[in-house]
Amino acid sequence: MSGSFLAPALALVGEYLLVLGLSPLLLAVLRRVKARTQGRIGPPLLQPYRDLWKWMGKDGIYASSASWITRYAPAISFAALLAAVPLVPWFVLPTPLGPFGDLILLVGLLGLSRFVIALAALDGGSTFGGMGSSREMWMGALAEPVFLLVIFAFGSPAGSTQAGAIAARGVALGIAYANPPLLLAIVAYVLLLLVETGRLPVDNPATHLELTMVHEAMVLEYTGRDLALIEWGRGFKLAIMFGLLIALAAPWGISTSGTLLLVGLAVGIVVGKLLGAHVLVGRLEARVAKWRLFRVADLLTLAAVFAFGSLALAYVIGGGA
Amino acid sequence: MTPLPVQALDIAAAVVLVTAWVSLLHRRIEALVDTYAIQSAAVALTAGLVAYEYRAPDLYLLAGLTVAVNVVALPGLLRRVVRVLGVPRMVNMYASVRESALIGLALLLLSVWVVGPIAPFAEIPSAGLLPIAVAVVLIGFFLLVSRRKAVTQVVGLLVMNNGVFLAGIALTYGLGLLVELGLAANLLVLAIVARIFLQRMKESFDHVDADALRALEG
Repeated sequence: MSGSFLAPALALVGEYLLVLGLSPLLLAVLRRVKARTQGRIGPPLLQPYRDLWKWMGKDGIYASSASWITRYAPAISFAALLAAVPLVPWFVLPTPLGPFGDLILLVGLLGLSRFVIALAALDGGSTFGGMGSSREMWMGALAEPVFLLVIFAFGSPAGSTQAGAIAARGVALGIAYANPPLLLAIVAYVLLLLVETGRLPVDNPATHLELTMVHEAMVLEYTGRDLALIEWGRGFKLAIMFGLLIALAAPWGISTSGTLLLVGLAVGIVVGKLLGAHVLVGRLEARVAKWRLFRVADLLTLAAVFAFGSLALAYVIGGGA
Repeated sequence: MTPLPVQALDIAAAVVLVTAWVSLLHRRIEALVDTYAIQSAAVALTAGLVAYEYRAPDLYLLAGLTVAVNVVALPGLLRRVVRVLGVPRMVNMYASVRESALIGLALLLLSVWVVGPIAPFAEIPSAGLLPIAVAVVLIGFFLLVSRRKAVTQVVGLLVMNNGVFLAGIALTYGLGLLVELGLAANLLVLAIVARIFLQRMKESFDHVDADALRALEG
């Protein structure tokens, strides 16, 4: 490649285009798969784009009791998620920004985005907002330590919490990267992902039923541009979580050389993997019912157990050998 | 580089461990039985892989036997017990799901701590499976003692059985003796299941005549 500065910049722009542009489509695929599995036709694939476009053209409406927190929260939450995108290796290694942040920062950014929205939900003063943020923060408080443990489980063989370093080790090892500790870490991550992104056994993103909603209860007060930012951010948070899973669990296909052809191929592969992951979650969502809220703790306990078990096994048979 | 079948063996053993943990999570008996069937399939896979990698043809027999008995026959029988004899479908337990999961982790750590240092002395590539196998045995035992229903206890015993199989396969590459022991263990378990089956039938219908079950249809 020509410039040492130009290529990473281009890759970074490419990553943002990929994640921001494609995540509504991926969400639509997920909804479509879920609908088809349940015998419905489902919304058209461009529906999330249309929704976003419609909301973008409208101003927000705020309650008279709301303060500046309500106004700025969607933007802050969206910005935190934006900052998390380059922390995940999408299709080129090393990651374009290099060692500018690791997965612990990613956990922090996701936590910030969650916290700001919960704060805004309290700010409006509505009952639902308080209920939703209480539930969300309870889940978040349980999920974050588990997330860190899962990251350590993935990172300990590579000796790093940089997603780029972990994925680079996976690409270099090839198929030998797959071992029992990795399998355990993947299971733990998938359980965590369902909680972190609020998918079905934990929270139903398609419902506005008072008793069960978690995330929806928090954003009930929002409309217009603010809602667009929140929904878009939610869509690509899902893409980030899946992208991280792909990079950590099955990094094969991420391009390590700079030639344009290989990078193009890597983009195709990562889009295919993302699509596959969304289809899988769509099918899962069609099959399971929402759990009682307090069973979420069971799910996260199991995730923690798997992550810890992964570390224990890595100590015996994995990384060291 | 470890050869590919050995690596696949490690993964299959990890699946056995994962399913053992997942079996601690279930509250419905049917789901527990399904998980056990998946676990048995993974055990059969390890037997097949060892048979292929270490040229031990009698292990193919064991793999086939495991599929026939532990994946198809026993889960089918257990589902039948639950369905026909109206055993209540919830798993009654002495420990909550969360406690069970944490105890399952403690059992893995225990076996890693105790068995881990021994395993390398066995001087065979698959000896790394030993901590996993011992952990599966311990988890099966915990399932056995922590659940109240007879059917669930049988599943605990079967999970233990899978763990013993795994240990045997990993360490001895299936001597003729192991095949015999496996057969004997399977028959034992079959006998226990049949016993429960008959006992419940007797309690429910006052007889053990299987033909009379047809009269209840429709």
